Amino acid sequence: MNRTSLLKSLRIPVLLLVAFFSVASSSFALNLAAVEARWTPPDSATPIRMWGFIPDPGSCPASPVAWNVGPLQIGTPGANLTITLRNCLSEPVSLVIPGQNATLTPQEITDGQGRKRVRAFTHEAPAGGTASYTWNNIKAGTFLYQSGSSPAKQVHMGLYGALKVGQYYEAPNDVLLLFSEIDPALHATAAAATPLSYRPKYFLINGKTYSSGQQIPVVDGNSRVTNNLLIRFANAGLMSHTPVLQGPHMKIIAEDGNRYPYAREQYSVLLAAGKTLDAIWHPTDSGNYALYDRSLSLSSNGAPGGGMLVYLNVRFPWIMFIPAITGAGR
Amino acid sequence: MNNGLRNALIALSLGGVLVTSQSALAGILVQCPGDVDGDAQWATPGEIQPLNTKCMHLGAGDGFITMADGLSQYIFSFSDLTGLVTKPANPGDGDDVMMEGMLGASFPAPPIVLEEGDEFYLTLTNVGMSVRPDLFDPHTVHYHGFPQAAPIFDGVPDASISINMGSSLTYYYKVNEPGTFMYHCHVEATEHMQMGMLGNLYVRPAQDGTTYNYGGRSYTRFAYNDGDGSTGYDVDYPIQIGSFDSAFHIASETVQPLPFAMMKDNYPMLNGRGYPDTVNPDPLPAPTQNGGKVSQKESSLITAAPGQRVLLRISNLNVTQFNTLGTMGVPMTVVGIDAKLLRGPGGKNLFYQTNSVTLGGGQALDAIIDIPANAASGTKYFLYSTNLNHLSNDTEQFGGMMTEIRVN
Amino acid sequence: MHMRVIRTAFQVTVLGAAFMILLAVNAGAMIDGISGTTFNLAAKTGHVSTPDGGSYLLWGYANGAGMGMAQYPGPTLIVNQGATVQVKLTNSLTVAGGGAPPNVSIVFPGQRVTVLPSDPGVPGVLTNEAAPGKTVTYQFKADNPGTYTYYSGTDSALQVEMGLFGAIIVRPSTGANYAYNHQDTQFDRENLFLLSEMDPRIHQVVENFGPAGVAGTDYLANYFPVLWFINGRAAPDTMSEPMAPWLPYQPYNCMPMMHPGEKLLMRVIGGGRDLHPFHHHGNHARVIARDGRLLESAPNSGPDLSYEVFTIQSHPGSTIDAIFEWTGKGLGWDIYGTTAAGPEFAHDCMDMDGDDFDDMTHEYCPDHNKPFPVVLPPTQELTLGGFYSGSPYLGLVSSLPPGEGGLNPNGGYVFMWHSHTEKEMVNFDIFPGGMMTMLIIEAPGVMIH
Repeated sequence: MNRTSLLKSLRIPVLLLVAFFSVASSSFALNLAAVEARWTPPDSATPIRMWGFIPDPGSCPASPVAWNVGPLQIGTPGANLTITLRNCLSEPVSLVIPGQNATLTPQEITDGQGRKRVRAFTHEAPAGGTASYTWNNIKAGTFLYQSGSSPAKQVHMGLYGALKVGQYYEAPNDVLLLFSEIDPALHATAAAATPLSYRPKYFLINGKTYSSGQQIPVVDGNSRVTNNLLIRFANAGLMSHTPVLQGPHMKIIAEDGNRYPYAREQYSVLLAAGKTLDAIWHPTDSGNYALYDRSLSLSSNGAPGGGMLVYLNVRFPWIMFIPAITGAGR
Repeated sequence: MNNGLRNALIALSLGGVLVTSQSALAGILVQCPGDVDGDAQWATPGEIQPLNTKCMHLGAGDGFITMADGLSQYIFSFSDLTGLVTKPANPGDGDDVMMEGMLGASFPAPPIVLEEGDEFYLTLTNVGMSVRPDLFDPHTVHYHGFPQAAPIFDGVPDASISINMGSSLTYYYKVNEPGTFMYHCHVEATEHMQMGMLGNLYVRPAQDGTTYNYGGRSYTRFAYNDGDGSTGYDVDYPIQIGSFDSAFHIASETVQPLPFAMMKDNYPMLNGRGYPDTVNPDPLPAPTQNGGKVSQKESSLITAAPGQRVLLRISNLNVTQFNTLGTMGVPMTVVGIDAKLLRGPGGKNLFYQTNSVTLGGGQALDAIIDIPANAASGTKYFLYSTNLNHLSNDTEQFGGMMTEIRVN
Repeated sequence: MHMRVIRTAFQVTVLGAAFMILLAVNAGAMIDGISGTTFNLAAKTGHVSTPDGGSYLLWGYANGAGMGMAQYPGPTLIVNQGATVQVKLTNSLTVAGGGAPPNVSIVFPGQRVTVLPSDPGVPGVLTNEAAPGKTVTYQFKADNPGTYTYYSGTDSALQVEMGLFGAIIVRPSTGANYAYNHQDTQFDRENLFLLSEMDPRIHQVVENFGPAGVAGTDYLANYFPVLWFINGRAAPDTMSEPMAPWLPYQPYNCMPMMHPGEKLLMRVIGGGRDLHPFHHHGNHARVIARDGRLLESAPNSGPDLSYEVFTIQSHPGSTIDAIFEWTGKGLGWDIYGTTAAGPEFAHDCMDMDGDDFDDMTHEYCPDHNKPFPVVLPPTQELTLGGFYSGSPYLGLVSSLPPGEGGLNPNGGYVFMWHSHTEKEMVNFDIFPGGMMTMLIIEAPGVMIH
């Protein structure tokens, strides 16, 4: 192959990368707060201590809030994103988006041997204080945002959420599936946590875990037969998972906001710790499609039949005009 | 249906076994064309290095390293004995290979860096286990991933031969393909590899030395023979993923039963060190238990100038688990997997950008990081385990599988 | 003295005849399994044996509700592209402790499955299920060729661990010696590598207390396997014959064998829940498909997005097809020996078609008659492997001390194929074992059965 044709073939991925909806360069600001929170598992009335991101209420909540994954942030490709973080916790917290390019200002400590160690990937909001983070010219795709301080501890304590930037022209509708885990033993004594003993017992998608006998969570992306659905996978857990869409194949098109040169047609995909993936699925039938972790994080506090399982709901196009049937269909 | 083994056994019993006389013991014997004094080099006057020939002399034995939290760890690994005279002109003048090799194990094992087209002669001398004289383990070198291997030089003891204590075996391989490989001992693989007999191995391509322009810059060094400069780089760093289970090492040192089933690593590392030792550019101080031999020479600190391209030669020789390595602040472009340029058979370019790569033991990957041209001097990016619980040295936080990418 | 098993005295015509026979043999399927369009499977109990003497409760799919025995893994279902496949599942599980047996089911990832209206079973979470003592019949059209898997969709974390999984091979319409409908997917031989692991604590709890006992443990979350399998067997049982009478619940072996220059199709499936790096010594393999889809940029473009690896990364529930070849090209020495070493090494390298390889044996002719490059140490300084032939040459068996070698009587080239998570090469605390087998590359004249 001569060099000219090789260079031409190299250009194809570049063309694909810009095939998003129109890009408007702008700035937008978001406000988050890191707060004490509680999550009550489905098999127990005893809540688990969590830390979480919430939309900044303007002042710190007086008591722990109900934990959920951080609020979904929505950005525009090419824009400058600024997130202001209010820290309502008793230790410093910071914010990183691993898939977005950034200039970092790491925070270091000096250990007993005089070695410098990075404690936080970037600058922090002190306890009770605020900090501001800016990403210029943000990339399109699906991303995780999470704490960059004591990450082994603060991320598994619950300080994570998802950011979606832009939309793929192939898929008018999208769903987000944010995988994560909870090890209650580490949460009871967060300050003294020894990360390598991490043994999660709860396996969540979008902050919820299916527990056997209870209603299976339905993820409704307003998906229609004949339309492509974009599935945004993100894994804020510390372990890898392997989502399977039961039955059909998907086209995996991007990871960490980077479009692949060629889509990968698979019914399952490795979703490593910290990874985000975008997949396009073209449903051909209506109904609930099971999507679950084939790494078999399909238990809830040890009991089989729970864990990382959701239904993706697909309806016929005309059902949108008959709300009653839509409800029954779920 | 496949009754191969059974039929093979029957055929053997019919064929019988034939025995011939044995030759005399050879002991330590370095085989290196053109090398007269057995130091695996051509430094002595009169020695001529044949074209495209490289030699190396490794010792296999035991030693000690220091973990990032201060724990001393007993290891098995290789030592670099290249340069020690084993065939002196006057008997008795040679260097004492056994003295140098014993307790000389380093972790990771000495890097092997070759060029495409090399004929590589590697002599392995088994110097024995000083701390475990009850062990008579043989050793091998397995060139992990070298294409078109022959069993005699593949280092799998079950399928061929391994070398006993006090003797040498010379491996030959004609290096026909560039890329990022790795090497390790394959004897009692679970034990010897957990104990540390693991090292970096990579082959520079024939394209090196030619000039290609790519992305507005010109390069003379490349990951592969890409034909267009797309794998050109300014600086390259081997990064070997690994981890140790200290309980296993302690059991080995103290002659206890080895906990194979219960093996669970608690020291995640890059190039044989946990953070922050990974960013120490120098060899770590020698441990006292091995007589003061420097045993951790490989830094994982990555430095580059603004606008430079950094090639990471990532390999994983973890014995217990998969690992995901991520970058914070800049993305990577994956250009090679398992010592092959990432292109389809018809030339389709399969390079892809990402912020993390997942490798199991025995996998390798080449990734290029483009340092932003506007990055300020002193800027730090990170290469770290996104399995965030691996960011620790046993129970010590802010450690483990992480290093820094520093803009100079 | 050497015992020359093959090759040197062969006339080209004799070799040619031998190859005709080999080609005829190759046309058949190499992978053990059951073929057809209608399958009767039953979930039953049995026991998995491991080489360290262990025996563990198995829930396995059996071939037939009557005499069929539970299998680890379940029967490999071999079907032809385009066939409408019916799988009837009978739930014949029994459990300890007097409790009711669980429902069981089968999911078929990558297939559009319906249940027969006449035998719909009962609704479950992932699919319809067979209640205890009852049945369900699944149906799908095998539209796409390739390698697939099936497993229980009921309490999968427990039931897959207990053994309810298996492989499906859909043969393309192009022919049985193709992986997909493209000439670049043609193969000479094929082997299944269905990888799995086992945490015996779970099996012991189920055996003693029934499945309800598992809920009182954290074993499904804090999973800790200590046994590893290929096609349901731990090494060295992987290399024993198929249908070995001492492994009644584990009928499949894994013993890849080939000749130089042949194409061996590796069908690699993650049957359990862990990732496995499957390292195939000897050479790279070209990954041509994942999850039953050829890695192609457009329909009928062939595997133009395929890539080469020396370790296959196997993901749970997913499938990989890869083609492995070995010729010894470029080794720099003659793998059949040189005449300088002795007259018995005399052989020709005849390359009439100009591809650098002998037209019959696939010897790499540019290395023909190049001497072996080093002197090997005397035998007493070596530890000899059971598969060592006593010689570095292909097809040559040399003298070994009594009791040494013996597993490689044809002087084949033997390569270890194994999980490179080396911890997985043990049976409990005993090395070697686990997820490991040997590839034997036999000399060109040696028949492979």
